[in-house]
Amino acid sequence: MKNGVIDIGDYIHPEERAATERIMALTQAAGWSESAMGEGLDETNLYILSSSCYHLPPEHPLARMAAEEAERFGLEEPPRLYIARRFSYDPQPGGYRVPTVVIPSVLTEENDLSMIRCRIIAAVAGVRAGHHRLEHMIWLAENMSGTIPLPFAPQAALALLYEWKRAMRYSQDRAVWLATGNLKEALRNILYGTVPREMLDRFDFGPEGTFVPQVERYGRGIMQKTAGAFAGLMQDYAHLPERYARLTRFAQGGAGE
Amino acid sequence: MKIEYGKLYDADMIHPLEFDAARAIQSVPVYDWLGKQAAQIMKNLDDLPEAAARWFPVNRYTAPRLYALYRLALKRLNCAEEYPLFLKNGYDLTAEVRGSRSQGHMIAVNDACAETLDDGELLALFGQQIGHIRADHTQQTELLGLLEKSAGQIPMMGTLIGKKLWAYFADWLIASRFTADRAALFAAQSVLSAESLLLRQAGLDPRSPEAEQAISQEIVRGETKPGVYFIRMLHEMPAFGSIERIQTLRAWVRSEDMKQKYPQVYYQCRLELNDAPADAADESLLRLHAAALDGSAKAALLLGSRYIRGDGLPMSASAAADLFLRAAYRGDPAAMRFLAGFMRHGIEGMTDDKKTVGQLYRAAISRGLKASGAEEYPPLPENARLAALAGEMAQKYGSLCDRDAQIVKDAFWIPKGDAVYACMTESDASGAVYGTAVASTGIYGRRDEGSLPFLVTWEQFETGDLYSRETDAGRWLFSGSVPILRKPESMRGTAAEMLLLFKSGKA
Repeated sequence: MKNGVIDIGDYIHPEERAATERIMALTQAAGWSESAMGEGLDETNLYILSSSCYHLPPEHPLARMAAEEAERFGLEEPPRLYIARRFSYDPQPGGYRVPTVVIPSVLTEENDLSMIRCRIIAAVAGVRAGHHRLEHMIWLAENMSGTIPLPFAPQAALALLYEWKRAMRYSQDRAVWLATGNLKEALRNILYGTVPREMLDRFDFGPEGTFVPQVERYGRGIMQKTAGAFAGLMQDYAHLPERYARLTRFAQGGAGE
Repeated sequence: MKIEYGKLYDADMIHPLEFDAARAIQSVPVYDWLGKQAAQIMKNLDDLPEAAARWFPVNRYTAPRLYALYRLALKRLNCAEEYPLFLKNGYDLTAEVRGSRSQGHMIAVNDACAETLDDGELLALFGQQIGHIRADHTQQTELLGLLEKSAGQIPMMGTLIGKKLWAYFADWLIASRFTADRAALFAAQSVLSAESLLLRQAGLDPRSPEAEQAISQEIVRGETKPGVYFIRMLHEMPAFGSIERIQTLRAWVRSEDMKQKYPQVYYQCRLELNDAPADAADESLLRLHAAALDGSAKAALLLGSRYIRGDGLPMSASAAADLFLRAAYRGDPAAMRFLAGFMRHGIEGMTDDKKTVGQLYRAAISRGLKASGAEEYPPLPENARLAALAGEMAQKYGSLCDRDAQIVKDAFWIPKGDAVYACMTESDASGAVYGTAVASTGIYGRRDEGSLPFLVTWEQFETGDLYSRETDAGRWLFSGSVPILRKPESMRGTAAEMLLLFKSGKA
């Protein structure tokens, strides 16, 4: 962190860095990345969002919040924010050179400002780390995988991208903790939107919290040890206990985190 | 009171951009051939039963409110076919149409719509879907789906080509939604309801300040044609284009084209949108329309006469007929005479129904109309036995107050001097009154929005059979072939009891 600005290096998880390096080493990756421009990704994205969603003006409280976080993460410009009716609580990044973030209405309707802030931090930190660009690549890879004429090569390429997608979550969790300076809030953010609100409000977050036994059970779980490696090929989401445990370790300055 | 929007012609419903986009697609040499092949394949497809088995059927028993609104939307869009309607699980405030020309169509509405949307918004939602069917959009989207699947068979790049096809149809996909919104406007008969649906679909509260900002926000459309990512983003945005669609709909309702073809819709929409008048003449017309919409019979009559003459307004018999109807439902004798004239001459599709013409003339004469030929319509005979029965029931249950009696007399075209013994009525949000009234000269009533008042004289009632029968609108009492009254849960002290007692001779 320099002059109050959180550097990418401060929060990018080593697994994300490793996965990104492996993806970029692929010969096709640069071509796919470039193709985004040829396919009018930014223009299509901006058209669809501006024609379908409310574009938050700069004076909107959430836009101001995003601008503050953008400054904190050293972004020259905050991403364009839109609101859309979505059931998922996760803001969705998009665009390529012109990054956008779609905030789900379900998140704003609950009006839990601390959680809204956490999700905006995650989105802004994600934009700073270029997550929105690789998101498109995953979709493209899922549809282009047929073009790789080698057996199991498409699955291997997707597994690599999914690995990145899981690791990207760990990085965003770290960013939330670094920006808020509040571990309990950052841990609550991981479970928010998945665990019912009335249960979540009774949780005690932190290294000794009520979710810890579940995290430990998950750690001992068979999925983690035997089938985990295989499942990792197919899963593009990071398990909540895993995120919880990793962030807790990171906050405690744990090894490997 | 709401205006009757009248018939929305297909040529007006299809947005001009859709015509252009369709023409561009059809100019591709293989399009015709592909279309024919796809139509052939679609003939052999039968996937509707499979979809229907997974969804919850909507009918008057399972979801009466939804079903009634759906039927109203069909009626307002002059749609004779009732496509099967289903509810399915879904968070988005959207619905979908399945099927094709050969298979037929069905509509599935997400359950969130039933929980979240008000009546006007649901009517707009049904209007969108009916519009898609009427404009044959399903055929095109089915064709696209088939093309995508076929392209997927091409080795290596097949999937990507399939995805890219959607981008080629992007302009058409966008414009087809503008078309559906026009149907939504006519189904909801309110531009604010059509807009409110689109705003909710976009995740906004229509009453919030953000909604107003969103409507006027700039749509960013670049030069580059959409590429392969178009379909990805389209799928992520079930209510695609909501904001642009509102802007496009507003442009249409405020257009000169709308003013010329559907002038009343034009003025009602402008009033709803709170548009500022362009000049003094415009202001006076807006005021006159506002007064007519607020229920002033005088304003409706004046405006109707101006539409007939084309005085400062486009000449429109349909607008005049609607306004005369509006004034007639408020008991205006001149409007009643105009309407009777329309019927006699078959203007605006009105049939020369001698019974209704007579009903109109009698109602008008009793309200002071002086016209030649009035002697053709002497007052109908009263029934002494019914009067006695009504007296007994009034002692037991009380009688109708004068104000209520006057409202039903005007709404059902009952002669002013008649006594109204009992009535069963309901009124909608626009103030229109439906139901049945038992009066001294007969049974009068109006069944629903799409029908004119009816009359069954006591002579007809006494000679005809009285029976109850299940209809699409619930269980009704019939006299002869005329459905006269919706059967109530409890008959005690109602108009239905009065009629049954009278018929059975127990009075």
